[in-house]
Amino acid sequence: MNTLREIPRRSRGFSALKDAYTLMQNSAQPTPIEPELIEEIDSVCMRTLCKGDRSAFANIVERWQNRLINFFYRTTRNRSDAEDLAQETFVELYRSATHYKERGSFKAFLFTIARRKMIDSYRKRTRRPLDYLDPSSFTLEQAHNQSDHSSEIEEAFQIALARLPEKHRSAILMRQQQELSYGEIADCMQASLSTVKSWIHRARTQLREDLKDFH
Amino acid sequence: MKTTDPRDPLDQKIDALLANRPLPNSDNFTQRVLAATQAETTPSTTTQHKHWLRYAMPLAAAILVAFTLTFTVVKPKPAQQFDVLSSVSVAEVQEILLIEDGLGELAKLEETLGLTSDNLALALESLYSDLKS
Repeated sequence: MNTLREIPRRSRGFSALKDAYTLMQNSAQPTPIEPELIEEIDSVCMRTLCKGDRSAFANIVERWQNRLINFFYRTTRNRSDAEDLAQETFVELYRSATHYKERGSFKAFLFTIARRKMIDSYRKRTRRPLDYLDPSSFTLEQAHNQSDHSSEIEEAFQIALARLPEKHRSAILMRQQQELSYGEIADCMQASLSTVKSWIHRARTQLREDLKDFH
Repeated sequence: MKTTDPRDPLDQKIDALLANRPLPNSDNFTQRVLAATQAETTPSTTTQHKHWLRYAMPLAAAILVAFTLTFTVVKPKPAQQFDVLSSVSVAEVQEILLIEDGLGELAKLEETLGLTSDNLALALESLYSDLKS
């Protein structure tokens, strides 16, 4: 089995890329995968999906579900709602696969849909994000925390994050949690690069202000 | 734009919290999504029936209107006219012709003598009384 670099660029089919990706992920010394190679895997998956191959779509869901669910979880604080929103995003991605253009980045395309879904859910609920709290997911979250102090700061962080304006929160999460570039965030949010930078700066300043007691 | 001071412990903590993804993967999430997309692509039988019914009702209405118009607009057949004439006897035909001749002559009298319907009625009445006497 070849690694991604050994496969000639033009002959990179979905199966070859998938096998190489699996090999690199499962090897004893996981190879760091370059973002452009991951981007290429996603593009190939989308092309294959357009031809009707559902296994390519399953591959996208497998690789992006964790990032997407956690992105929504930071807003909803509810696992069930986060999963529902992630599912709706993937279904929308499946529907709009034919509209995907490789000129833009796959991440930007996916998170544009994700953000639209989140805004739609706000409109449907007309409630603040903190209003729906799932006790089971909160217990799960607490179980992951190592100490009372980390639980406390995590809780304060969630509250501070929920207080941010939607644009500021989405921008900083896309940058820090999802590792999108400023350009990709600007594409997603249909804003200029400087506006995105300003939103992220304001979000961070606000978070620092709200969490200063934990300094 | 540099927003994070790498030496500041609070900035480091915020970076760590932002990058954190606390929820692990669900066991059956992929299957759920695939099932949802499958439902999108395969229309159910109920949906197919609804689709069929959408066209069936206007089609039935159109057929009904077509039938109604066909039976109301249809003209009487020439054979039926022929049957009416054939049912009249020769004597009756002769009588009809005589009445037509009589009416024609009466019209001529009306024109030439200037008889009105009242005068004609009086004349016929006097003729009748003369014949009776």
